[in-house]
Amino acid sequence: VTRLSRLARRIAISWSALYTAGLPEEPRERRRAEVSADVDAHLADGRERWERPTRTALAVLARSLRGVVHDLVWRSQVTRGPGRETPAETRGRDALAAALWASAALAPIAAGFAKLPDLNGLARASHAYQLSHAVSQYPLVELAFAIVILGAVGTAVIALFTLGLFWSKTAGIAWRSRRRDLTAPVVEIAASVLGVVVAFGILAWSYSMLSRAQRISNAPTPSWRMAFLIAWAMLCTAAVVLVTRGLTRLVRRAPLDAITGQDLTILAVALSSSVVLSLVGVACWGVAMLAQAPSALSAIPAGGWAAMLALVIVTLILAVRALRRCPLHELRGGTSDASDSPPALRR
Amino acid sequence: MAGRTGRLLPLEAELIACAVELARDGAPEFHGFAIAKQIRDRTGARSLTAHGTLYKALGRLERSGLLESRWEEPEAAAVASRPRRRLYRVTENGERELARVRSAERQVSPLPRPSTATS
Repeated sequence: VTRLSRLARRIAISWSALYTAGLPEEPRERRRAEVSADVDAHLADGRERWERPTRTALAVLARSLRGVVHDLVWRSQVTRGPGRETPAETRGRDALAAALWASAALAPIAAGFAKLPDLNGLARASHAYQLSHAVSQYPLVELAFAIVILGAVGTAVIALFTLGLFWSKTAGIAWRSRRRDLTAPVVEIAASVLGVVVAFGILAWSYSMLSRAQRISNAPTPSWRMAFLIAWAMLCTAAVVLVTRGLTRLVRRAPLDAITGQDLTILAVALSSSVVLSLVGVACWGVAMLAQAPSALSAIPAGGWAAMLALVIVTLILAVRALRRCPLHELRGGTSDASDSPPALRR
Repeated sequence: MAGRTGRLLPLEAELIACAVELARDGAPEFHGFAIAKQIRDRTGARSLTAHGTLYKALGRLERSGLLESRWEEPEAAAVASRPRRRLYRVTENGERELARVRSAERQVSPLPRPSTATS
């Protein structure tokens, strides 16, 4: 047993101890014992197959990391009582989690370019990146700043898609009760397009706010700039927390029995498209930067490039997974009513 | 709101299918890691199902009556010098539900469903 194997085992077991803390004894002890036995079996299996210990240890760590969202959801279910989650809810959470991961992955990519854009930047090249110039002397603050802002925008976009989905579903059901020729997907796609328009509106508004904030960031002393950035980051963090909480409540309370795999397919496709569009946007952003300031790219260290490449790959994997998760066969089947669903798993 | 109904998630269906296969191979009871390995081998996935995903799915299937479980005898664990394992077994309801899901899949689409076993 190598040091890394011991560390992996300790991390997996410590994580299970952490997320089960404060739960009733039965589920708490059961989950801890199961994870402990699982990790032991995994390490033993690696030894039996003469697998490199490092590889086995990393696999154990990866399994813990990939299950974090489900661990937290499970804890939430145990806390609020068993048997309230439907498969549709689980699918919705999965799609949401994948999208949040993707948003989180995109933010550092943008931060790697170390610039925040100004919508008028191309026209006012010499003033386009004042804010990032002001922050560039504090790399960590800059990174946190970009992560928080892009995280907030990403979460807001996802929230709008989800809201649009639920609203359109409700509207579609009401509409079809009078006009049976209108199918739910038409309404949902229209709502998704509307969601994109609104999301871009919010994006433009936030950039406008950032442009105004530049004036503040031109404060005479670094300490003022620092104070402004910290305040702004706290505000955005609060926004992210509030939106996330609101979204979680919405997902819990929504009439999820009416949400079918078809709806989630549309949601997943919309989310994946947004991820791809974001990647394209970041790439265009980088090209524009390169055209204006070729020296900026040479300032990025090799480790930064490697990190960005890794994040791009992770993001693409997450986007593909989000697509693979969705039940495309249901879209081909063309069912959209909850009443079409075969009843099962009644609890 | 109407009664909360649902279907087996792809992972859950895969899990029951793997458990049925294990039972046919002479292992009617399985523990978490064993089923994760079986799912990986069956689906050709590169990685094992995550801890959180796997045990959440197992718990849900058990609450639904599609699986049942018990703790391994302490002596068996002591002899092997390892922690006790939770052993699961597919119920008759579980096998019926799997057959129903597979049948419904064949009716909805002739194409095989995409593999979604790992998270």
